[in-house]
Amino acid sequence: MKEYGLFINGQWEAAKGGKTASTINPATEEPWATVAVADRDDVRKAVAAAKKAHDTGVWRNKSPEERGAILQKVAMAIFERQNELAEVEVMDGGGTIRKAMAMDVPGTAQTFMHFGQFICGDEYKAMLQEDYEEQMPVPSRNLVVREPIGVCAGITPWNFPMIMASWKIAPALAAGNTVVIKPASVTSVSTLMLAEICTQAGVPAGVVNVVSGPGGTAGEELATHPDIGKVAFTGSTEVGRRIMQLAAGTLKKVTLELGGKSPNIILPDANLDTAALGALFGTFMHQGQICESGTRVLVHESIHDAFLEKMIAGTRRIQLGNTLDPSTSMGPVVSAAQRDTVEQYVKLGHEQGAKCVIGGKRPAALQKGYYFEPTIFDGVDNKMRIAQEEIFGPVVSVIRYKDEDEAVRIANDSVYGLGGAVWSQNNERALAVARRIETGTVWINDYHMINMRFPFGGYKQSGVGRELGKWGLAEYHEVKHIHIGENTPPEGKIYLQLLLN
Amino acid sequence: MPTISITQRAAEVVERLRQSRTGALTFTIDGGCCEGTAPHLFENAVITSTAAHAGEVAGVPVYLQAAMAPLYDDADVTIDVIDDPMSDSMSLETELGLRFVLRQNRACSLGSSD
Repeated sequence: MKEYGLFINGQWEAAKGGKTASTINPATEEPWATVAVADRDDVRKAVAAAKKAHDTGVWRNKSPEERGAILQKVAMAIFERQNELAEVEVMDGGGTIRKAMAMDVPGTAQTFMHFGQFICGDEYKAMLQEDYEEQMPVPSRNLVVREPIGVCAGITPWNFPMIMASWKIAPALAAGNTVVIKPASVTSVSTLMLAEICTQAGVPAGVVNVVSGPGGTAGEELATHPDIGKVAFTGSTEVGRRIMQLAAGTLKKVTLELGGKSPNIILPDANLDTAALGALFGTFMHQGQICESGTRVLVHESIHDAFLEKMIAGTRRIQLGNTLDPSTSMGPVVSAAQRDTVEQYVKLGHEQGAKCVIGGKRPAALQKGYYFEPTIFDGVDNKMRIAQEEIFGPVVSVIRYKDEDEAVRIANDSVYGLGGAVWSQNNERALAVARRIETGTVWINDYHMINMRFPFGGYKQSGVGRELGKWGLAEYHEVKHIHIGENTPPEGKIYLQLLLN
Repeated sequence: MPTISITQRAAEVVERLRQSRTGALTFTIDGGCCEGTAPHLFENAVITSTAAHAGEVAGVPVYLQAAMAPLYDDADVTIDVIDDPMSDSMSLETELGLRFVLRQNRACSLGSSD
């Protein structure tokens, strides 16, 4: 059994109270590692290390080019350890090795590479210092400069542990901040390894700290600690709401990336073969445990039957099994509790009158592991619980619509506004629909195509702020205005007449 | 109004937390992302003005966030507790290595809120 500690101030440490917990492989239901469980004192120690590293200037005083070179080295080191990192991600979270090698590892490395390269370029230089001349009310030169915030906390979920950690760490470090990351406790190993990789690549001790522990203590400490200037959180809407409330005590900046119930609109002129398989990818990728999954597939009534048939046929091509076998395309959900939740929603779907056309149960052939068959409900009314609540499992709702106005109305009839898609062979038509959807991301003729260069985040109760790209990077800076007045005798300062006779 | 009950074990956990906290306790039920719809027990929670007071269990008021209220109009649910030493919810019981969960006994009848 492997053992992992906390990563504080550049080294591994046991939790002060000596607490550890086992992390379970969801495919085998067997523990494979233990991780240290932080309490409030451990979090305070990590924050103190990050504060000290910020105050000494050991990281923020490096030039963007120096920081950028180190972040690019981190990216290369991730590729060098890709097999090990991918296996850890599979055993911790239950995704497939196929997904870990094609998404988790490159997605994490690319995030570090992107921000590492971006801060070496002219666009970042222009962001860091803007220069203006003003004549009123007195002549002045005005600099608008961006500086790091200080210590930033990142709280990440269990679905994409390593990528989510990179979304917090890479832009925070690019901007010159130090970080304390609290990964989801059930999937913390890859984030701990990432902290070690950062240190080995030249990130100074104390700049990246990782502590896993319960939300009620470790999470609350991060959201309330006065030395933390920002909290970036990915997770549930209710926890996001709580973090915002707790962060209010010290007026921290927050970025929140929260729940979703994203619409995937199939227009009647879509390429049905591609759109049907795209709808499956949008829903069943990683067992549906992705916040922006397109779990409400809105299908025009004229193509409904043919489309559903193609979705069912495509679902039969999904292979559940051993997550470390490259031929497996779907793994288990993350835990027994998560599978219980999925089963409860399937029962609710039946009770409220939706029709399960494929799946809806545990696979008979897999006795071990938290597996659940990919499940399609047809005849779903948008008022049903399965259409309004986020299931976070492999369950998709197919909803019929009559015209585009109705499709848009149904799409926006959700408290969430994270992702979504429109499928059509007419880009102009799809774009017109896309503009009417109240979500932070809309794909046309694709799904899940998140790009490090472009912003990601939610409308409505799906979040606050944006991650990724220059928009996400901007959220890791304070903005300072420096007014440089002319060096003149008192007569040159006309505003003095307001006070002096 | 939904029917909301609590198991004896979960009520005992609420009582333990009441002893260790000085502020008022509140259950809120809301959903999203990795936790799905779940009960959260918070101390000194700020309840949004549109949240619906849905009942009381173990001496603690239960609120449904506004969007949830019509979905649970005549639903029947039970707040239970499971052992979960690694829960990342901000709900108070996580400090005891536990997690409140929502058992769905009966779905709300569709359109009952119209």
